[in-house]
Amino acid sequence: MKRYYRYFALAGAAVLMLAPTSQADAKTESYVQENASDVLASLNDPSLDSEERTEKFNTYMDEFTDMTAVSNFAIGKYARRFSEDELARYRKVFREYALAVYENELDAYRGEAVIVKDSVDRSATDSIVNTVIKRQDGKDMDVRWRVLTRDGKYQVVDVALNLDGNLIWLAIEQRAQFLALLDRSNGSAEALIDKIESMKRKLETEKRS
Amino acid sequence: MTQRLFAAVLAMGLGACASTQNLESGTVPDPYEGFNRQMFAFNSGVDKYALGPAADVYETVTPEYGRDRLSDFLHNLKSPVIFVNDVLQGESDRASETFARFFLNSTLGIAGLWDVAEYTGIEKHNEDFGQTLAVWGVDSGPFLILPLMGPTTPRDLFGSGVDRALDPLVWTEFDNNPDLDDHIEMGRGILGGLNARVALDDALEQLNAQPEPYIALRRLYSSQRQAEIRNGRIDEEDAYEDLPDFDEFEE
Repeated sequence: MKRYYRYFALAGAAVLMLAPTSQADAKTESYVQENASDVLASLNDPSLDSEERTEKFNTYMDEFTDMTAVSNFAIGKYARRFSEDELARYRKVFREYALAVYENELDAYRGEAVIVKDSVDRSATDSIVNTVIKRQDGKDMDVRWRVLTRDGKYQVVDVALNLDGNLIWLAIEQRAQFLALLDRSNGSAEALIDKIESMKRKLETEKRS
Repeated sequence: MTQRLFAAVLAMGLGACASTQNLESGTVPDPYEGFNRQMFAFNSGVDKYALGPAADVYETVTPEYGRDRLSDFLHNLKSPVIFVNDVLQGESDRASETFARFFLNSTLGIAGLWDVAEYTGIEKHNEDFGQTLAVWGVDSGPFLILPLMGPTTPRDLFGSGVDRALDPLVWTEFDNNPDLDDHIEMGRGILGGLNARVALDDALEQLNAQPEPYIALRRLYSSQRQAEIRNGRIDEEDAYEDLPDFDEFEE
């Protein structure tokens, strides 16, 4: 890719070629800004009890993220090998688990506001939006959102946390483990569903009351 | 949770020589996975039945304030090794920081018991010879889990040996008590291990709750080492090049 950029630069067309790939369109950025702010606001609303908070958070997250794409991605080739029933049960428990993960994770940051720093287009339909989640304790978090555009609709498919220079993409890490578990259990959907169920139950016990 | 899990990578080193851009599944060379999984299970057993309970007792009998002072003291003792590796990597600014930290903490911080340098804005960092070798272009070699030592690679294992040789405490001899240096070394190892284990209790729990703790450990160890080698800097130009396609398995 860099080789092509160099070629176009030499041809005097670098600015024209680089501009669209170095910054995602403002709509993608404002999409993340608005929706991530709504998600954080749902966690910070003192008028909500635990159940209401989770319900509101889940509603926003269902809009914000493409849970079907994420759940398929997390099991890779097994998405085509599971039966329809297995796939439906897996997607249901995965959604509940993923929402619990995101709720606990974002809640732990006690974020106050989402500030969009910049963005990068990987392709015309695949962008990364770099944000900072401002926190009361001053320990701001560098969070990156992968946004896909389908039929003109934006949806987040993965989130990366920058931990001391180590970018941890949550869906990619989940996928590596799910695939290893499935490989070691001869592709057993039951084994995976049971495991996700137990992880979900554990997360629910850790949720803020 | 991820942060706590991330910290578990260090914990699974069981307090030994543990100290490591995003890697896609399968890119971490692990030709000895069978052996590594056995060692992982062994280390988990040691942790469950020996180190964990010992750390619980240690936590009960020591105040958090005391453990923090010990942690600061032990990190200060590592400063000469960190300084040498800063220099060997050509990181003059970081070497200056390490020198200043060692000076301030050893004096105003009373032998390193208090990290006063942090208050002046000079933050701590780690370096080791494994990272230096990586900066020099040496390949990591395969992922390994060793009994009691935890995750490593041949490069990091060799590096930890060199770091040990660079440590002034290893060479120190006390005229009146020839065994004192060995006792200090042993005390440092035991207390450092217990201190680290207590600090990472939650992280270990999170690691063990993962669908595949071994895979989580391998990936996090590898990516953390890569981040440490880059001194926490992210190469923004290449940061997203290897991200997988999300639509590959769409219906």
